[in-house]
Amino acid sequence: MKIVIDLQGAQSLGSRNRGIGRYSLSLIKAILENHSKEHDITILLSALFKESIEDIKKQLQEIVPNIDIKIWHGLSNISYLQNSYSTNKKYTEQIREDFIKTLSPDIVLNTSLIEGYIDDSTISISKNLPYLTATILYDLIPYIHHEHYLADKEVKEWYHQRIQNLKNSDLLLSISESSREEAIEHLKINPQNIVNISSACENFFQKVDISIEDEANIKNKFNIKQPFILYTGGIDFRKNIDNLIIAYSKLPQNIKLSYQLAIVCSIQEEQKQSLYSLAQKNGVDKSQLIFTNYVSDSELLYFYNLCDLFVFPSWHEGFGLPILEAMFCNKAVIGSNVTSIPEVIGDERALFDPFKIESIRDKIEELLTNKELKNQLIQHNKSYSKKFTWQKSAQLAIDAMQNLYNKRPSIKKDKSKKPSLAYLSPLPPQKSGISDYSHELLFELRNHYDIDLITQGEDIKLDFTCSIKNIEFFKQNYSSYDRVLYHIGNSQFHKHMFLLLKEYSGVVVLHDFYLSNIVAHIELTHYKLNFLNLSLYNSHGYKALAHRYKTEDLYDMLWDYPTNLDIIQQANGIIMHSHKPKELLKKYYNIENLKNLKVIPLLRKAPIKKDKKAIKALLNLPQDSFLVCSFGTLGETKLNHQSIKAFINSSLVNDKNTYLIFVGESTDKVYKDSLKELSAKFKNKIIFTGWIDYPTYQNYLRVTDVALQLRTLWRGETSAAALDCMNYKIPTIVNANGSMSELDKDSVLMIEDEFKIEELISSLELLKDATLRDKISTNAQKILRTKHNPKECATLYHEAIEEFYTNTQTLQESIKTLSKISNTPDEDTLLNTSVALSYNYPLAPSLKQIFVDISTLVQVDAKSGIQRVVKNILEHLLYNPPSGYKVEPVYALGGRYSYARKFTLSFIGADENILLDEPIQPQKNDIFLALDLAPLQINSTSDYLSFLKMLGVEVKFVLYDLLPITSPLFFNDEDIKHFKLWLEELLKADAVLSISKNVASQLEDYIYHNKDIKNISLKIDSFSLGADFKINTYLPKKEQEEFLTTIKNSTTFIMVGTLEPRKAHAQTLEAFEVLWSQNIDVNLLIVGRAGWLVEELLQKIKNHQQLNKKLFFVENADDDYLTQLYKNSSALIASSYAEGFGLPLIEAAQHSLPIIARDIAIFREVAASNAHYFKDSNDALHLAKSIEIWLELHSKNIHPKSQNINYLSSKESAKEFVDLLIN
Amino acid sequence: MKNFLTWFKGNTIAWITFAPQSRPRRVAKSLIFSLITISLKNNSIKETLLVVLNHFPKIKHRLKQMKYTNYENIPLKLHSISSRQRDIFEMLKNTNIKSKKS
Repeated sequence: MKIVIDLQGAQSLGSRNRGIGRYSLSLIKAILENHSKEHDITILLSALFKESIEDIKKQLQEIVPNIDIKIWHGLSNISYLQNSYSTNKKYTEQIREDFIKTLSPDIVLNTSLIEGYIDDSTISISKNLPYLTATILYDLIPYIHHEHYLADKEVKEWYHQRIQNLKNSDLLLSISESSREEAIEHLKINPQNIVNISSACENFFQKVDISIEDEANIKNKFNIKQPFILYTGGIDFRKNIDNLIIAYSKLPQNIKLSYQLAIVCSIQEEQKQSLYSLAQKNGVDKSQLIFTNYVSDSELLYFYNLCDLFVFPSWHEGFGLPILEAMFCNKAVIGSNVTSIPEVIGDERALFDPFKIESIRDKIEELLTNKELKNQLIQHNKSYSKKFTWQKSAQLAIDAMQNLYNKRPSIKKDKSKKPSLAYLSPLPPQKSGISDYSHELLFELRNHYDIDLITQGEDIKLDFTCSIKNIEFFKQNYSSYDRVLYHIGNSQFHKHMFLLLKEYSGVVVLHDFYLSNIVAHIELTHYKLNFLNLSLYNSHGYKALAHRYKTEDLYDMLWDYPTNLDIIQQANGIIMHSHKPKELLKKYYNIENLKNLKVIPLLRKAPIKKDKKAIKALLNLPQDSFLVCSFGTLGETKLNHQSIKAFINSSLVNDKNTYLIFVGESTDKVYKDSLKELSAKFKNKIIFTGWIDYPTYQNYLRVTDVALQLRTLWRGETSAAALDCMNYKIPTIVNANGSMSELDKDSVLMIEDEFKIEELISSLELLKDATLRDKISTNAQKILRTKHNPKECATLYHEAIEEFYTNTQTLQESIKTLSKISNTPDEDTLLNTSVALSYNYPLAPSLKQIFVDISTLVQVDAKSGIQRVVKNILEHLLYNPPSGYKVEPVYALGGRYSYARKFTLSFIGADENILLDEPIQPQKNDIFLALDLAPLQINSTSDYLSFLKMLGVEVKFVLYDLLPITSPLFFNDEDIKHFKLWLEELLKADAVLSISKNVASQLEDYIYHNKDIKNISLKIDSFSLGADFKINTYLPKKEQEEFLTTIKNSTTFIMVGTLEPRKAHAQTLEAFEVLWSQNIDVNLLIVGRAGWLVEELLQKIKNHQQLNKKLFFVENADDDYLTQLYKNSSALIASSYAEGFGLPLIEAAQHSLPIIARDIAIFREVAASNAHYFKDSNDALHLAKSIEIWLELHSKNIHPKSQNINYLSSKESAKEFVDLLIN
Repeated sequence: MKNFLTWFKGNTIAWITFAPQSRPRRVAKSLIFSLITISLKNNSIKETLLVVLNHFPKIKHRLKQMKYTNYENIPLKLHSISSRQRDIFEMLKNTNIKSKKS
């Protein structure tokens, strides 16, 4: 049984924190725990309460980790209080019902129906739904006591509307026998359609040992000085608190003075004062009456355990949960003898008449004075309360639903009328292979449908009558057709269908998997501008666009791209003629097990027998000829040249009666000429027919003795010609290429896909044996007569089309239904509906998107280390998208994200105007990658990131460093504040990819030491940055050349990086001043832009007496010049106090430049023992000494060598990153 | 008679106080919803309100619970939705027009 459970009962603002919400969740958890394996269960949550989703998901995933949760979207602001039963509300009800239909449930369980007055809860039960419905009934208290609860007209209207929906439910599950009986009595519900599933209590409520200290604390807090009588359960007129207080006041004085009365629940001040007045009026001192107001669950537990008696005087309950909670705490419980209370208490001795004060008083007195009775009741409660378990309620619910399901009436299809079908296909006399195929199919399909042939006005020649309509008619009357069928192939006969299908969806017969040629044709002939670009982008992403703009031969380039994903997505269902194209779906889109795909054999009509002799005469062929034929358009992929080679190298060529005939035209003149050249010596034995009409084609089939149907570079098509040969009982040689490999091995002579010529020759020789020929051809014909016969195939078409339409709720159907809702919806309603529907009907199948946030890069390329990494990874992703993924660079805009198409097109060298930037359309299983460091933008999109997570998008961050946290001294307050906000966002993500193990470890430490951080499921990984060794053909300018010579000719130490306090330029300069003062001949070359907090340092450098003598400062070195500077230096000084990675170390290693580095963890991680380290201190003297030591080591050539550092290339680093990203 | 009096008393109190289900409470809620709607559509009003509300975190939290549950809270325009959403919008519009005509 497939069960969909609507959990709005646990989501709604009205119920989520109350009994209904707790009941809903507890029951469903019990159902999952006990029944998730036998039944297919889906949980349905409303996106209109997105803040509730994460918590509910977590709770349910603890029970069933891979639980199926579906989230539906509707219009907001639809509470009855705000807008009554507005158009938006009606739309949302319909949207919800249609969404449920997409899940094809057997039964829908609604956890709460009386919702939606103050919030956006939407649960409707229309008549004639294609699924059964079960609804939990809590109580009918407002219905029965309407004069009190439904005095307001609006509330009454709303409530009665809810009750009407309740009555439409196929099954009601009441939470008590009392509620069940009320529904039967007041709503006239059929007793067979309502089942009592009872209720239960959380395990939390139990007898506990309370320490003296805790007892004292709670008593002090609430001013409890004596033993007390407890009530809990809310203040409402039916709760009967007034009578309880009066009954208490009438207790004997000694009892009254010995026991306080504690009312433990939320209470408003005026209610409290009113009850105090009542108590005082009845002689009860204020001190005897305790009002606690709201208490936590743990405090409530203490109250239960500490009380002497629990009293529940309510005169109407749906169940009465506090009674059960008190029973679970092993307390004596007394309650009213009305509605559900007796069934929960289960002992008459504990009941009183709530309408008679004396009755309440007497029962309290009895329990407080009669210890024996009290103990008996306590013993009774211990065992009786065990009847109430969630497991039992879940079982009762499932059993009731199962019974309902078993008794469901079968759906009788009205077979008296054939459904109408709009049929779009090339048809005779159009010169398309599909024309004749369609003609034969239509003949049989007419038995199943009333068909309108939709044409573009061309002449159609059929052997039978069929209604013909034009495209305009089709568009106008689309909604009146029951079914639509498109035949789509890679030729211009189908071009109009590409545009029609988008708006007028239908089932598609995909004759060719690769559609790039026709798609290109549509654009290049201006039938639809930019069509190829859009199709390439939608199916294959930026890689394909980059390829297009870089290629010289467009059609050669298109060979690699099927460009058919739009068609597959827009179709209601896909029909193919073999299973082989599924491999292409996997190859190009990583799609497996496409649900709406059917394989139907290519139909072949049994040929009419004709006299072979007469036909040979007609074709001017010798009567005693033995004909070896190859059918179909000539081309390299048909391996016609191999056929010729095999033939001329076989013994058949020597037989004067044997001929090789190529039946079909060639559109490739060059190839055709090469075939003629190859067969030049055997002109009389090898014949090329050229183009022939269909009857002539059939005649050749009739007279062929052996067929040769070879193929390579299969493009998803089914070989109709091979099937024709089999159909005409011709023994056929095929190679196991593409769909031909699926042919029955006894019905053809199959050779290897990539066969050797000897194999082909040998096959030809084998088929000289007439017995073998007969055996193979008989088998072939048998298969064609059964599996491929038109009647059988038409039946399969009918079954497939019906399945596609019946089992699937489509977007178009939903739109159709919505349009029937009365009133003209305003634009706002339509816009919001569009948004909701786009999420409820995600494009499927689809490539998963990787949204790469490049918000900063889009605005400016600061050429910083981080942006170098961003560009490297982005480039790798764009040109090497992981299988099944589409890489989409995005940027933050207006609190959301937009596709950064313009930027990306420019980045890959394509025309930046072919695609527009627009808001992203995320779906479940997409990935959002915060690749760029964008603290300001990410805070404005915080809500949207939560929305993405709710949709099921995985959010992942790249962490470059934690420097503003670990080394705050190097940053200003504003930067630290923004970074902390950014980090808060990062900590909510699903995963973090750090650029080094060191940074990953710092993040783990940070989380460990921050108890406020709640996201313990955050995955933290690290990858290694890389760098590329570029062969530098850069030609320096003259002044640069001189400079390079200067530094090369002396010992020059280079520092690379933005000038900022963290990089310790000041300390390094001081160290060199020490060296210069000692007349040590060394240079210091500082390369980098001026950053922040370095004004003093900059002044010092610019005014330094050694500037341009021993001290050099290069501010704006591009990558090429930087490479030259590395090459001509003697060593790198990496003196940063803290780093995320330290890319200059890798860059130095690429140039075999020795490294002198501060001894910090990250440098050790990158360089290991392949660098010379100095102590991490502020002491310039120490650094100077360390440099001196290095000079000494260097002079003896025993200094650490950086060329031993292991590092990845940019490509390897990006690959490592991507593997982590998707795994 | 007693029950009637109890009911009358309760309802009278409810009518003039902000007890649950009382008319003043419902009217007040409706007003608050409307105020929330207006302020969310106007950035300057929203920002001013937030400055005030930041001093009253409990009230702010309560109002947050009452606000739209639509994740965007920003009125939609045709140019601010994705192309797929625009396609659906056009289909909705066209289907509505055809439906009204027929």
